Amino acid sequence: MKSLKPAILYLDDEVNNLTGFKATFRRDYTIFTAQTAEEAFKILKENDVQIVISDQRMPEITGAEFLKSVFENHPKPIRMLLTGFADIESVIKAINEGHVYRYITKPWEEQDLRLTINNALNFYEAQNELRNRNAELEKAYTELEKFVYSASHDLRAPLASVMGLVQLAKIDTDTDRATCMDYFLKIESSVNKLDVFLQNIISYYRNTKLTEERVEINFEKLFKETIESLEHFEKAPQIKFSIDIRQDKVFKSDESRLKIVLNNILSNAIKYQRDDESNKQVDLKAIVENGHARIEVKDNGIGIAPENKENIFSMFYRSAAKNAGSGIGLYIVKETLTKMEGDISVDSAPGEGSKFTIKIPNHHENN
Amino acid sequence: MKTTDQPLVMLIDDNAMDIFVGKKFLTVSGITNNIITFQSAREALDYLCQYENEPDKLPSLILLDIQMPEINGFQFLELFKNIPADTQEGVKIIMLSSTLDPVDIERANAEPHVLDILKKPLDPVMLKMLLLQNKISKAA
Repeated sequence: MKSLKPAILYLDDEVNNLTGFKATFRRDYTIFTAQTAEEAFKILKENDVQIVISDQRMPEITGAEFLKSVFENHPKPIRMLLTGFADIESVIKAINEGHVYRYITKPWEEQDLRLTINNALNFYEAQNELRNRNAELEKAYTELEKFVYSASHDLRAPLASVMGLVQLAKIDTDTDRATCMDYFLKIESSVNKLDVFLQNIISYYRNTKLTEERVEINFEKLFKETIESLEHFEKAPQIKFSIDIRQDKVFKSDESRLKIVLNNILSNAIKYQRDDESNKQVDLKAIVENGHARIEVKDNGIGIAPENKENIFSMFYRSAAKNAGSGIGLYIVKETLTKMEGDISVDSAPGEGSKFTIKIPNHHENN
Repeated sequence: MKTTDQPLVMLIDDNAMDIFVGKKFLTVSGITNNIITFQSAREALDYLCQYENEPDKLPSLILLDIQMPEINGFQFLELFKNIPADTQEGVKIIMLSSTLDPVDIERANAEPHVLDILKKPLDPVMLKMLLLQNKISKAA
C-alpha cells in the first residue's frame, strides 16, 4: 500500500471545480471525482480511499449530510468539507455529525490545501496504525486468556496429584519401605510432568525473544542428542529409533530453534505409541536438498484422525487420545517454524502411525 | 464380594495418578472399599448402560473429573441424562477440578445430580461430611 499513491475522493456538483482539483493534484495523489453522492458511494465501495472531500452546497444533499453518511458506512477515510463561505452552522454540524477532520474555505490556495491533505494523510496513517495495533492486542489478549485457562489446569493438575500423594502418605498407616517408594515414584512422575510443561513454556517464551543464529547443523548429532534428552519418557526404552541422513552439502540453520521443533515432534512420537504394538518404532530422516532440508519423523503409534489434522497445530488443542499432553507442543512447533520460514505437514492414519515432515531453508551461502 | 454397608463409588478420571489417590483416600478414610474406576467417561457410560437393570452394580456416588480429553465431565453429565431415569435416580455426582473455575462452579451447581464441586486433591474429611449429609454413607 505504501508504494501506491494515496487516493482522494472529491464530490462536487460543479464539473469545473472537479477538473481544477484533479489537474492540480493528480500527480501526487490518485484522484477520484464524483458529481453525485451515489457516484461517490460507488467509488468508495470499489476503491481504497484515504481522504474524502465534499463540497457543502449541492442540490440533492449537503456536504455535511453526505459526510455523515460516509462516516457511518465507511469510517476509515478522513473526511473534509469545502465551504464556499464561512457557513459556520453547517461546518459545526458537519464536524459533530460527520466527524469531519477539517473544513476548507473556497476558493482554496494550492499550498494550503496540499498541506491540509498531507496532514490528513498523516492522521489517516496514525489511525490505521492504531487500528492494527488494537487488532494485534486483541489477538494477544485472547491468546493470553486461553493460555491462562489451560495453563492453570496444566500447572495445577500435577501439583494437585502430588499434594494428594503427600497427604495420603501421611495418613496411610501401613507404610513399609516398598509403599513409601511407590509414593515417591508417583510423586516423581507427577513432578516430571509439571517440569516438562514448564520447560515447554520457557522454550516458547525464548522462541519469541531469540534472535536468529545460523550455524552448521550436524543432523546425526542433533538427532542423537534429542533422543537422549527424552530417555526419561516412560515409553522411550521400548522404542527402536533409526536415523537416516542424506546430505552432500553444508546445511546452516538456527540450531536452538531446530532443537525446540525436534524435541516436541519426537516427544509426541514417543508419547503416542500404541501399547499393544510390540515393535515400537520411530524413524528419523534428514535430507538436504536444493535450498532446504527436509526432516521426517515417522512413528507407528496411535496416529491422528483425519478430522483432527487441521487442529493439531492450534494452541491447546488436544487430540481425543487418552494420554493427551498439554496441547502446547505442536503450537510451539508451528510458531517456531514460522519464525524460521519453515513449514510442517503431517501424514497419518489412525492406528498405523504418523509422519511429520518439516522443511526448513538452508542459510549456507552456496546451498 | 459385595460389602453391603459400604456404598459403591465410581471414580472417573483420565489421570491414573489421581485415580490411585482417590481410591486410596476412600479406603484409608474408611468411606468405602467398594470402588470401581474408569480412565475415560466413555468406559464409565458403557458400564452404566450395561448394568442399568442391576441396581446393586450401580454406584451411589460418582466422583467425576471435569478436565478430561474426548468426553469431559460436563459432557458426561449430558450423556448421563440419556440413560433410563430410574438408573439415574440413586446416583449422586461430585465433580472434581484442579482449578475450580467460577464458570465451572456455576455450571456444576445448576446440575440436578451434582451434589457439589470439589477442588483436587480430594479432602477426605470434607468428602466424608458431604456423604453423611446426603445419607450416602452411614455414620459409624
